[in-house]
Parts: sequence; structure tokens; C-alpha cells
Amino acid sequence: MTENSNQQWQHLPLFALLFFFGRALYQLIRNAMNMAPALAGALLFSETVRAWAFTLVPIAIVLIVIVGGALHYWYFRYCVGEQTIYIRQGVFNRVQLALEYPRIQQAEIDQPFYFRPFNLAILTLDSAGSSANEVKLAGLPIATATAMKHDMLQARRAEQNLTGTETADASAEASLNSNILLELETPVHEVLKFGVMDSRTLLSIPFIIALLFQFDRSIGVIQEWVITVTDQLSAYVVSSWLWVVLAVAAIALVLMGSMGFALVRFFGFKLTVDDEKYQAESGLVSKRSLTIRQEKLQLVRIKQNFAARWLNRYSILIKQLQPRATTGGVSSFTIPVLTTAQRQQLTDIFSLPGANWQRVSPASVLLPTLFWLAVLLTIAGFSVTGTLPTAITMVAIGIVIPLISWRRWYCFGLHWDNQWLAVRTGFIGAQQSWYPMHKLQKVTSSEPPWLRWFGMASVTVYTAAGAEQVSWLKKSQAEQVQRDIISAVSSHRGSWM
Amino acid sequence: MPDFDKVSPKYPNYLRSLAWLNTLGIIIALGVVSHFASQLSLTMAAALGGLVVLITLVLHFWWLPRRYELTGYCVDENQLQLRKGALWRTRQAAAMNRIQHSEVSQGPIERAFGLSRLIVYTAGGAGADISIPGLADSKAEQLKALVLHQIMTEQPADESHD
Repeated sequence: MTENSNQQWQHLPLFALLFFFGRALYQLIRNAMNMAPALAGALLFSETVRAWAFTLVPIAIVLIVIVGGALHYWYFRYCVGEQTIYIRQGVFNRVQLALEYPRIQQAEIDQPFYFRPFNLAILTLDSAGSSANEVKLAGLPIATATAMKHDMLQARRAEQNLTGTETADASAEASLNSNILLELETPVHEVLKFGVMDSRTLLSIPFIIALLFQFDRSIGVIQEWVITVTDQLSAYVVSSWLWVVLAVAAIALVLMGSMGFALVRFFGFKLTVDDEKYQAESGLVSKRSLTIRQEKLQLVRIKQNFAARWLNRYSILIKQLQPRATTGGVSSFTIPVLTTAQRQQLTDIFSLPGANWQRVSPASVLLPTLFWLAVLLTIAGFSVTGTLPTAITMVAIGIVIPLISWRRWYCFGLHWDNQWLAVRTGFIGAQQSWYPMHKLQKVTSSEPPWLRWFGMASVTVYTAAGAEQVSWLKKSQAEQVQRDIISAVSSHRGSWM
Repeated sequence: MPDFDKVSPKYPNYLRSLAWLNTLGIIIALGVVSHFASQLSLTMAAALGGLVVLITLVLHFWWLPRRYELTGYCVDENQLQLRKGALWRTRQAAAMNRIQHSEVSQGPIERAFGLSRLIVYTAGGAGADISIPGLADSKAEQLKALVLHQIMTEQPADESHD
């Protein structure tokens, strides 16, 4: 601190109290949930506890939230030095830490809804490493937060370039005008499309229709009501149409809800790519931004499900190495809606090559087909008395299952070159997962007995963003992938963490 | 194709003792249960125990020799590979420049046979480490030193991240 004697320990702006109150309340609720069984027990069995509970508990909550929040606010001080930010926090356990700018792995700006009217933000700092630390500076004016984040990124860049002949200043100067490669803003009507494309919504639709079937009886009640209202209509027309109308209404409701969620999450979505990093920000109520530096990229996943295919749109998920696994920090972002041209622009930026998709053995269709047919026949054997409709259903399923297996096999592809390993899956839609080759940590080829019997093997690659398995490769093909990956990884020199 | 080194010839003996110890444990458990619970008659328990012994005999004479034959490792300047499995064959490989750290570990039964295992960790999360079993103690230490040496020579000068 001596070198910063001109700097003083500062409090966060008074508005930050909102953040500390909120955090105190959140922690209180979380602790209460952990102690819920004990609390419930005490309430049930003790008359005195019950008597006191209703007067004391509200007072305690207010005390903990207001006083606790205020104390935490009061004891939180920070001091901005030349290249370091010093932080002192904690009421009982005092913690003091110094984060050096070049060591700060992640600096993100969030704008929760209660700060937005005042143009304030939260700056979250994360310095990875064995003693990982996350610090939130709440209630900073957005300009200050942005400037601090900028300084931190500059310092990091300067440190990384220091090994060259350039001086730190020169390289910082150079990267001030870092080259913007792409700026992409998603307009509202495109964001609404994500509401339709969201696979969770699509999955919920058959569920809702099934639910409607369950409520056949309640439909009967509505039907009677409608008939009494419109008794000039014939009962037949009403009963056959009502169900359709209800189903359509339910689906429309779900879609509207989903569009609402899409708006909350992706309103004002903006992606900025320069030659060092990808940055995304969005949000209707709370604004959230995330930056992924190029060298941290672990996975690019291009998705198009059947609704997206119908709309002729794509979405892309970008994942980085989790900066800190324990806090569940956001480590990925989704670019919700992309046109074909925008997708192409992005794949060019990622320098994804034109893939040479290799299929796995068609024998992979055989086993799942046989398995599901066996399951079906067993069920049939137990449950059916041999009526014609069930027989027809069985035959139809017997045709559909091999078709599904075949289609999945047809859509599946594996590509690898010196830079990327990619897996393509799909049924009606398609999904491509691209892993940078030099991020692959381990590769296993295995031959379970049933694959060995066919002369096949499966390959599993492990990255810090998860594992990917490809089955039914020819044994020689599997060995080739393994050899190529190891040779590409071991010949890669440079940063990979 | 790399040449795989075999693990210690004591490894099958270790696996055999492990198999028979497990069998013994199961038989004792069966005995205890049939003594206290009337649902499991002594004949039933004896039949189950017999089955377990039969399975162990198959393991002893058929599976274990194969397992030993097929377990092998290979360390060179670029990679570390482990091959194992008699029924479920796998071959795991990691590039030297992705290895985070390594350790030698030894359980009580392994200690009785003078065996150790070398575990090599990468940053790939669950399942992304490689564990070479059945190494003679001195061999495990030697391999660990070799891996360490390879990592040290592999790493680029800039180690600013952790």
C-alpha cells in the first residue's frame, strides 16, 4: 500500500447498499432452507417457540438483512492502485486481498434491474488459480466500471506481450485500437424467434397435448357450457373443434411465454468480436455481459433444431474453461439467432474449415434396432391379446424404429484435422460441436465385446468442457483418430489453459 | 504403432489375491446372513457361495492371464499410453504437454506385493486421468520421474497462468 499512499480506501457508492441488502437476504434464505427441518421441528413441538416465532422472526429478518447488509457494506473498502486493486471486506472474518491487474482472469460487468435506472453496475473480478478469488464491486457508475475493466484487460494484454521487443506501453497502445472483426446486434423480432426455437419449449408441447388428453373430463364440462351458450351449433361440431381450439390456445400460450423468456434473456443482444476476444451482452431486466478470450475457447456448438430449420435460423453456443468451478460462474454464452449469412461470418471468424464428415459403420443401426424391437416384442407379449389395431401399431413401430436409427446414423458425422475435432449429430435438425484440437486432454479408444465382434471401436475425447464419445468406428479408423489427435496436440506449442 | 511395455509379473498374483479376498468376503457375508435370516437357508447360501467360487475360478484361470497379457503402457517424448482390459479393451492416450501432474499410489494389498500405480492427471475433468496399475515400486517412481522430466522439457517458458 505504501506506493499508493496518495490513494485512500474508498467505500462503494451508497447505492451499493441495495446489493448488500439483497445479498444478505439471499444468504438468509439459503441458510434457512438448510435449517428448514430443524426450524419446522421446533415450530411443531414447542408452544413457546410458536408464540415467539411470529413476533421475533420478522424482527430478526429485518435486523439480519438491514444491519447485516449495512455492516458488510461498511466494512467493504477498496483502493485502486497503479496496477493493483486492493480490497478489504468482512465483518467478523476480515479479509484483505490484492488483485494484480495482469492476474485478473475475468472482469465482467452486470447491470441488475435495481441499478439500471441509476446507470450503476456490478464489476465482478475473478483471479483464477489455486486460491481463486471472486470479488464483486457493486454500485459503481457504469463509466467507472467500464474504465476499470478496460484497464485490467490492457494490463493483461501488456503482460502477455511483454516477452516480445515491444514495451508494455507500446503494446497497450497498439491494442487500444484492437481490431473489431464483427459487431452483431440481434433485433427484437429476431430475439422473438428464439422463443420459437428454444428446444425446451418445443419439448413441452407434446407434453401439454398429452396433459389435455388427461383433462378430457374438464373439456366435457367446458363443452356443456359452450353448448348452452351457443345452442344453435350442433353438438358434434363443438366437440370436435373445441379440442383443437384448446390445444392451439395452449400451444400459443406456451410460445408466448417462451418468447417472453427469450426477450428477458436476449433483449438487446450484442456480440462483438475483435482479434482477441468474443464479447456478448444482453438482457431486458438485468443486463449481463460475458467476455471469452480466444485462447480460452473450448467449444463452439452450432445448433439448428427443426423449428430453427423451418425459420432458417441457427444458434451458436460458445464455451470457455470454467474460470471457477465452485461458484458456478457463467462460462458460456449463446448467440440466440443467426441467419445463414451471419453463421457463415462467424464460422469464418472461428476459422472452422469445410468439414469432411466421416460416417461411422452402418452396423450401428443394427443393435439399437434389435434392442428396441426386443423390448417392444416383450411388452407386446405380456400385454396384448392379439387385436388387429395393436398388431398394426406394432408393425408400424417396427418400421419406425429402424428408420429412426438409420436417420440418426445418416446425420452423424465425425471430422478432424490439425486444428479441430468436430462431431455432427441430428435427426430433423442438426448440431455440430467443434473442439479446438489443442484443447483435447486425453483420448481413449475402447472395444466393448459387442463392438469387437464387429471389428469396431469407440473413441472418447476429453476436454475441460466435457467429453465426447463416438462409437462404431472401424478399429483402424479409431486408431487413426487417436494417433492424429495425439500428434496434433503434442506438436502444438503455446498457451492452452 | 507404439510398443507396449508389460507391467510387473507380480500383477496377476495381485489380481488373483484381490479376486479371492472378494470371494472370501462374499462367502462370509452369505454365511452371516443365512445364520441370522431364516429366508436364506444354508443350502441356498452354499449354492450361491459355490457359484461365486466358480466365477472366481473362471477369473483366476481364464480372465486374469489375459488381463495381464493385455495390460501395457508406453511412454515416449510425446505421449503416454495405457492399454488394458481383457473383455472390455481400452487404449488411453494423453499428450505429454497436457499432463498436469502425476502421483504414485499404493493400497495395502498392492504394498504386500511391492506394486504401485502411477496416476497421471490432465485438465480434462472426470475420467481424464490415466492410471497405470501393477508397476513394481521402483518402476513406478522411475516412470514418474520420466514423466516429470518430459513435462519440464515440454512446457514453454511462459508459465504465467498458474
